[in-house]
Amino acid sequence: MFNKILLATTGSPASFGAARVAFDMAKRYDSEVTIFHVVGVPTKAFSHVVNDVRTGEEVEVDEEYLSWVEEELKTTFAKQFEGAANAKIVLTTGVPSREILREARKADSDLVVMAASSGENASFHKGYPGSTLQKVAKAARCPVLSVHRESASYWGGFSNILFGTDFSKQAESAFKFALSTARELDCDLTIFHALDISGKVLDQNEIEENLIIARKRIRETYVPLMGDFKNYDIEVWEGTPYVEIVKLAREKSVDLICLAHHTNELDPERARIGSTVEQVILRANCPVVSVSKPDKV
Amino acid sequence: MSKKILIIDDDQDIRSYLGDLFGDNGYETVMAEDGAVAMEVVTAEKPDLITLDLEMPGEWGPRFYRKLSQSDEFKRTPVIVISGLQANKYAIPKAIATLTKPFDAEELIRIVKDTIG
Amino acid sequence: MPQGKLCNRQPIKTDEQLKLTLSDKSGKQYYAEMKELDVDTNALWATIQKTMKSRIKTWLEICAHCGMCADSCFLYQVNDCVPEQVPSYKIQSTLGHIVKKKGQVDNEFMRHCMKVAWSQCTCCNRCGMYCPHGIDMGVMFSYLRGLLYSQGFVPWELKIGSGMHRVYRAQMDVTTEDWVETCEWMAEETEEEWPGLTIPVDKKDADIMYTCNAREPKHYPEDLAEAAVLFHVAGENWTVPSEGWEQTSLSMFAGDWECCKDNVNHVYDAIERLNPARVTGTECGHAHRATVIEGPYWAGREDGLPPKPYIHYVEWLAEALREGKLKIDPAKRIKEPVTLQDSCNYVRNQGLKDVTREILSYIVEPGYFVEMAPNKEHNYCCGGGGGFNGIGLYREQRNVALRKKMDQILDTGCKLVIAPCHNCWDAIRDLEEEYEIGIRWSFLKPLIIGMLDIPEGMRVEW
Repeated sequence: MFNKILLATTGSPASFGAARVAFDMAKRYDSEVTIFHVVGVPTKAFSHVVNDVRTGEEVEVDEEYLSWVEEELKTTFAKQFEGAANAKIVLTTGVPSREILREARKADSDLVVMAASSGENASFHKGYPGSTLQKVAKAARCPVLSVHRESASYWGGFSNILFGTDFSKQAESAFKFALSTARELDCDLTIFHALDISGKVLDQNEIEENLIIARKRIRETYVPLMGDFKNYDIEVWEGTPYVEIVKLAREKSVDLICLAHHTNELDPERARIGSTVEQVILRANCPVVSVSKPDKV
Repeated sequence: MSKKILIIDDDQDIRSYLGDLFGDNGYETVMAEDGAVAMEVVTAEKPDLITLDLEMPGEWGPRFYRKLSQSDEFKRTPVIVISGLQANKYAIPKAIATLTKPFDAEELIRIVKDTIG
Repeated sequence: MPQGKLCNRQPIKTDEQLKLTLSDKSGKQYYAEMKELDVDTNALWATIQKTMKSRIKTWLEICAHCGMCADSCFLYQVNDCVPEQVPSYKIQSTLGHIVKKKGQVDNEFMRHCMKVAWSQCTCCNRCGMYCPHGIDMGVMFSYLRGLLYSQGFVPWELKIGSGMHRVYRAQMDVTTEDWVETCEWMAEETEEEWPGLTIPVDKKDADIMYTCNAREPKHYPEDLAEAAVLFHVAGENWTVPSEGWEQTSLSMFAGDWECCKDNVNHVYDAIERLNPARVTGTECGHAHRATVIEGPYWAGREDGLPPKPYIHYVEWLAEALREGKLKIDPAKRIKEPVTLQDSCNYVRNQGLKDVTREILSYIVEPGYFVEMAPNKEHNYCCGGGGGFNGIGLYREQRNVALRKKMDQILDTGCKLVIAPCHNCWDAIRDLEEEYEIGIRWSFLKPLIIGMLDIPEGMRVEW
């Protein structure tokens, strides 16, 4: 299920965690990994003059420049390239989110791996997932795995998956992905729902009533889909969803969190703050995969 | 009887360096080159303390720590993370200490002494 | 040296020559060759005799050198009001001189003309409104550009631009296959959120055929998706042609007349083939000028009109809002000071000043729309028109040119600028990048989509 991995990277330290995970997956699961780098965003006239995504400077893209960038990437990821038989570099120009989506579609990628922010580029605010991830996560046909904190990349493979559900339509796809990954890689799977009580003072009986209902709903919704798969646990408790997901993942030494991506806000700049999946990406100590579409699960 | 330390690291040089260091300070040592082997060694040798690398060719450090912490017998074994990775102190928050390579040998010995005597 | 390998009198006609020219970084060799390029003075004079009609002849003759045009020119204003930037001087000292000399001019003079034609005039046509005789220097500069192009004296990017049109029939290397593929992709990406949405390619007898700017499929295909969403919500029976979808014409900026004609005929062929009731283009100014205003004459159409009614996107949008095909949720209207950039190419050139304001009346909370001064047909060029945005050689001059628009925007006090024109949009983006005045800018499509009052069930929350 991870035959083709698209690692979208700026080559900056912000993407080292994502790169570590992608290359490790390639070695561990015998995947083909494409290191995809958007050299720059076109400015005037044709695509040949771009603002370099790392320096922000205006440069003219020609073969010489491209081979220089390729060398830079090879040097940056020299250690990872060792032993990665199926790794190749693809460079292009354009708007990063758009080009990542284009490449994922063209290559029929099974998974996009990328950092949560692009690092040095000042137009992205550190501490919030870059809008590139937003746009890619929303429109990609395949799951998008992102790594924000470098320490989230120190697991080496997946064996303990946390699937957080809000019972949305997209969560169905996210669940399917979590389950098939768990089956294929023989992982433990925790199905979790956090009852959102942030900012509310509720009667404890009412809370626990709702916890019982949610647990029942998980059993009715997901257990019938699991067939002979038995390595699962169900957890439901109250709190602020992103906090509880991060805490549970830490406590259980989870190495992959799987969530549904959905936002109704068309303007990614405005949708950036506050959604559960983005907060989890920023805070988790393991990779977070967000699933939006049912195609590649 | 001297206390026993398990050294988990994929780098042969680091293993022998740590072996010498602990040996000079009166500890017995056992070795493992990745997390999977390490769990067997833990079961057989029952070490008093473990030093743990993070990134290794086979099973990585955090995964070993998870297994260790799930074992009733060994979950209280103190672990010191010794790794070259940049953000290593967040990798295993319950480790008693995290040192970044290259590390200060005296500091390591002090931590070990404080922990297991 | 008579003609260079890259800089010569031949248009770029093959992909090979195109790539060769493109690979010449910054046009270094191209401009070096230009210094050696012979002027075929006999051909130049022959061309003038054949193509310079009475209007331009008369304009050159009757100019009284009164200088009334000086203050009308934003380039004169932002360049310390030096006499060399007075429109009448600019054209008399270039085209006027060539005509006076019956084409007997040298290489250096042609290179001087190139500089004036592409860095001291954006063909915004504003001066024509202020000349007591109605002399339009912009029109004359367009003509001069044609003469210069025929002799090989054209900025590197525009030589390539018209080459792109000749080779790909689009201003960028987007093939028919790429384009159709992009349409499928965007439909695929949008249909979950908007069930039933399609981007019909080559549908005959539709009510509307849509044409766009190659930058959209190449770099910003979401613009096409946004157009599709708005047509879908409005319930339009629409289509895009598989060929003849590219509405722009860098060849117009380059002065490549032969290519201009080919461009527009390609679009008109699509109209004839698909027989839509009407055609509309994207939010682009020069594309509209090329296909709707000037195009019929290039194509030699007797009635001076495209084969079918061809409206600008703002006209379609105003109509859809007026007739209630698109409804705006009043709660989502813009509630911050917002200003509007009038595109020279369809406002001054075609008078579409009221429809854009009608659109704003639907989408901006009353009291928040602030006009630039001056505005409508008196508005100034964004600073990057006529190809100026794209020419590396004159980047410095272009950046100075942006100052007029910057001052106009700053005077409105608005932080949001609506720019329903690709060139204006690019120029305003560049001016923010260059001068960092803290503004945002937008086409109309994404703003409208964010404000729609959508019928129940039409949009699936995704």
